[in-house]
Amino acid sequence: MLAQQLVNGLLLGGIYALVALAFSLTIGILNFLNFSIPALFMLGGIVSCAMLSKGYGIGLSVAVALAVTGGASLIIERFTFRWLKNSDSHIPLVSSLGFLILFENLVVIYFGSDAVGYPSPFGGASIRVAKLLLSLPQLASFAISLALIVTCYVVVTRTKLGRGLRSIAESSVISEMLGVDVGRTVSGMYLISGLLAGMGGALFGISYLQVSWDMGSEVALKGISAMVLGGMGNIWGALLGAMIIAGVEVLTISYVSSEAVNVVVYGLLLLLILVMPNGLLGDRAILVERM
Amino acid sequence: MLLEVRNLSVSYGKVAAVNDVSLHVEEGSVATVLGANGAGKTSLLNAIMGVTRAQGTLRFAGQTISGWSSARRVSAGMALVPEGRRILLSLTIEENLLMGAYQRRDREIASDLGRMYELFPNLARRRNDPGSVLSGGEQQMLAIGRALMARPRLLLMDEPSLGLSPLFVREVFNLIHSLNSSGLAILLVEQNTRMALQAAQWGYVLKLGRLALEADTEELMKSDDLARAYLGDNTTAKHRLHA
Repeated sequence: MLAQQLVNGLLLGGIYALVALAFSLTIGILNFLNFSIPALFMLGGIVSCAMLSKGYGIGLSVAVALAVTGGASLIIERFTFRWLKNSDSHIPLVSSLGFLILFENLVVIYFGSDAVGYPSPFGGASIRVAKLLLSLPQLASFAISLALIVTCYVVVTRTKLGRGLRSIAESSVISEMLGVDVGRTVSGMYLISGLLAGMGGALFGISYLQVSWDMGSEVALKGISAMVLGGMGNIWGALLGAMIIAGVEVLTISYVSSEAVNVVVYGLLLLLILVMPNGLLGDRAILVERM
Repeated sequence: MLLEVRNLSVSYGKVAAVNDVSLHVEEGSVATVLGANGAGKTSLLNAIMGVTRAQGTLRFAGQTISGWSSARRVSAGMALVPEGRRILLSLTIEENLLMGAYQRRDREIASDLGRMYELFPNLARRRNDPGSVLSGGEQQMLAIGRALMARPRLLLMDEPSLGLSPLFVREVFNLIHSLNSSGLAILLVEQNTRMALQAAQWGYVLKLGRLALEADTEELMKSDDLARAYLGDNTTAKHRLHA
């Protein structure tokens, strides 16, 4: 049934959008593809899962997971941006990739390499609306994702921190000259993107009831694709791209086969990039115009 | 004394852009730094603002500020109108003005914004347009307004008349006069020697990174030392290259 598949795609898209936005912030502001974001996504899922397994409530479990991912993101900032900002632009990228491998393997050591069931207190609760079966945790996750994305948009376009970030995106030298504490502001951005990725991981566990050490890599590829498709650095572009990627993915699984998913998704992405190299809503539009 | 620069040197790799320069700006006065292209004027201002690393001692309003971050220098009461205006093209005009007040935490930012719009009505009309829509002269006004939003005690201006139409040049210098009459101290770097000497009380001439001359501006205007120092006494330049 087409409508059901489209709804499933939409709900999955919310999580992709969070990851896409986490990538988009660092690309838009520092022009840097932060490869550690999949690790933070995974940590969000694994840490909240471990806390739930020990019998803690969902609120505390997610809060601890966010504290871990936010903290980890600030540590990564020290090693990718702060110490290496004067180095060749590929160095932070490699360093962030190092963090991805490090965190994934730490999780394999402590939690094993098998996928783990996510002991969500909501389980697979669902409601039926017309002929559609709607998973309540997925609906809630989608609503939370959307709220976070809108919040991010408001922060970037309407607040002092957002002005500082957009100013750094245009010129960190001028920002510094005007009195912006560039180091602290960039840390703030890393914290936000770490929290977005971590929340995405926890919501993924709550929605799909399974987490694993490599859950970040697959979702991150979709998130990067969503970001590129929508237009790098563009907040609404990340959301739109994520919806399209997730929709195509879900439709391919049900109408073609699950083996064909990656061929179709990335094939489509390649074609769209050929036609619209700046993405659907324009490259770096977050920095250049208000939507 | 508001600003005191002692033995300031700036080098890029092995090239010395500013070499052992000492100068000062009195409270409420206008001082000007003159010199040809490449004399080190911009490096000097950037070093005072803390954007460029430098050796030497900087004192501002009774405190030693060498080693302070730019942000801290802005809070202490310095603001720079940079060379080439450097407004933020992706931010709106109003956001550019607000960026000038980034270090401020008081509640008078909104009323200062209103004052800037009174001072620059052209900006008020287009406050929500991106900075990129402005002409060169208007961008200069925005860059000055942005610096004033920091409520500085000392305004550093790097070639504010460069590339402007004669009308805007006059406007910039009128503004310098009126800002100074209201008590603001200004350190003005200029290539428009005549206008700068009229605006300032004290003048410095930089040549190849070194202080070549300093005097009361009225004296500078009368003497031909200025022309000699400014236009380049080739023998000294050669000596320096060989040294």
